[in-house]
Amino acid sequence: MKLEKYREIVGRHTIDELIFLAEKLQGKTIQMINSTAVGGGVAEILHRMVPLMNELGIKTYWDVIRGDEEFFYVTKTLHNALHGRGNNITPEMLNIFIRNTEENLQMMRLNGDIIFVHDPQPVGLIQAKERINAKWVWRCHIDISSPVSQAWEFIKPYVEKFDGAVFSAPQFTKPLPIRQFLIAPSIDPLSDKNKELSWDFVSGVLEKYGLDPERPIVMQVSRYDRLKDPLGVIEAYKMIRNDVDCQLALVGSGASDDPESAEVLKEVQERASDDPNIHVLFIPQTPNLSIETNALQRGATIILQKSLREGFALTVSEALWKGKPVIASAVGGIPLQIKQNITGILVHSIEGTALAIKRLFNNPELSKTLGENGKRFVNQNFLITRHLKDYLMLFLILLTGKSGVFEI
Amino acid sequence: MCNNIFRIMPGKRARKGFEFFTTTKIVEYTGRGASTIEELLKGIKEVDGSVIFHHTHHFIQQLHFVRDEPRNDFAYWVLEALDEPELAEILNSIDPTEYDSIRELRNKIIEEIEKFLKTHNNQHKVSEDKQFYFLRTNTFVFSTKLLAWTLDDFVKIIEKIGYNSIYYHLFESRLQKEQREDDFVLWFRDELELPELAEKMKKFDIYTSSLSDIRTEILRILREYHPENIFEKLRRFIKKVLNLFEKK
Repeated sequence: MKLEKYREIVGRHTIDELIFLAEKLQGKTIQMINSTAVGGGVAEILHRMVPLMNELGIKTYWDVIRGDEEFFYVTKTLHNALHGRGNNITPEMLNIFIRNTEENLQMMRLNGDIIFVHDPQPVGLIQAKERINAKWVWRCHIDISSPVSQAWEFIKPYVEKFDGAVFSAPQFTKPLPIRQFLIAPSIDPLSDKNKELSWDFVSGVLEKYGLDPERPIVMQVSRYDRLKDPLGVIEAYKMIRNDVDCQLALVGSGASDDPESAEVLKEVQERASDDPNIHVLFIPQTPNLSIETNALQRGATIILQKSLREGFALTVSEALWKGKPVIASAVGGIPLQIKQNITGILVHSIEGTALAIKRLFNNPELSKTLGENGKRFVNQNFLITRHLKDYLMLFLILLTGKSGVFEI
Repeated sequence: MCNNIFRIMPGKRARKGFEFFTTTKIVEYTGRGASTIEELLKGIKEVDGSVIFHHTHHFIQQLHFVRDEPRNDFAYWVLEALDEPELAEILNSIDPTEYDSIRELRNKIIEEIEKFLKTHNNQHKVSEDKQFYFLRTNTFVFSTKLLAWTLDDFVKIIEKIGYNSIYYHLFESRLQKEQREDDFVLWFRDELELPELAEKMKKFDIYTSSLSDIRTEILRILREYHPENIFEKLRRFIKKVLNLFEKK
């Protein structure tokens, strides 16, 4: 039983709460719908969430919409535009979206007490609401706070037909006439990315990537994107390198054919070329990516997330879960994870980052306390079990239509 | 203390058992925000009680292991977004455990903001991304099926019960039922008939303690008061006196 493995980590009270809530949903059917079975954060979480819901006795199906190459190009463009990037959505693109949605409406078997639609790609399925007696919920995993207005205006009429919407943080919500719930994303403590690893394995991976396991490491793990400010990280490191003996590791992965990412990587390599203590690493997209990233994070002394803009930034929870002291920018969902000087240090500038690094190196007790607090905070607030519990409560709310206090 | 030995018998049974409940919650955005102090005040006046409850309580559960200064969301936003440390301090010092209902708590917050606005002119309007979001807590309350009839039972349960349950009985249930005292104090006094113990519990400041510290402190108070401990102390005292006599 998978649930039992989580009990050892989160404690019996959390599991008991899940079991109790699930009992109230016995006999109900949930249909999860998204756009891909592999790759991406949504598929990753559904691969773990769906079996757990079934183990709790809630019949849960997961279906994936179909579409031609054109459709997925359009949805990618739409996704970026909702995220506030680019604005090249043409009427032809919208027609492709509508046509593929129609085909999915004809082909898919929509069936459940709750139909749970993830992200914008399948949002048009809501048109079946009138013929299917179910509660419909739209789960938006992306930050749509500053979308290209054309993109939002296109999907808004669909979203408004749902019974409820779910966003990851208050600042990601939109003015809507339907109920909006806030459910933070989560990490899975049993996944390759987050499970416990032996020091032998960790040091082996550090050495593989040219890092010295015996010397302190300051690390940032994120794709090579200007919004993650890798050059700012290097500047902060250069400010403290004469005061502190440490290595800096920038750890990135992602599609090597992404032209912008390749350009940023090149700039970062150039900026780092004068210092052998700066390690610019590119982890290839292989099955070992997750476990090696896990090992690198576990081998770090301090972890940074010096982003200029962020979505929820689950990499912060990943670092906190590994008991690491984290210094991160106060942007996007990061302040939800870092409580200043309790679970980490929030910064607003390169200078602030440099000072915080020195502060942690000079105060190992503080580093230890932040790391311990951070791990406990993630255990309670950002693990998959909390995420699952939120979904169960959401289903109960939608099925009863009530709000406030539920005595069950 | 001596009086207690005779008054509290070990395993004394309460007139009514204490049923431990627990709580879990999901947060909902009300669709309402505030960008100025006036908008915040208007919102506080108009939103439903579960919104006031959320912004004055959610941090207690979220950081259950850290003893930190209280951080209600209104105070936090007034400080961080509006840069008004004086009002933030005043709002932060409002202890929700001193109010019998959300209505009273809301009135106190309104009163303090209105008092502040009479002497201060804050024209600060924050950008959309820094606005205050009025959020609602949807709370699920259910029984843990654990029942205490004696102080012994109570101690054993408190030792192992989840923090959500302790939180529910000390903070949430009181406001839901609009009662002056928390569930533990009421049970000690009215059902277990231990008014002195109830008074000791009442004196303990739960608002500035973490839930983890609260559990430790409750257990300390109970163990100190627990008749078996008193008998144990008495036994040790008698043994000591007897030893003295033997030596002589």
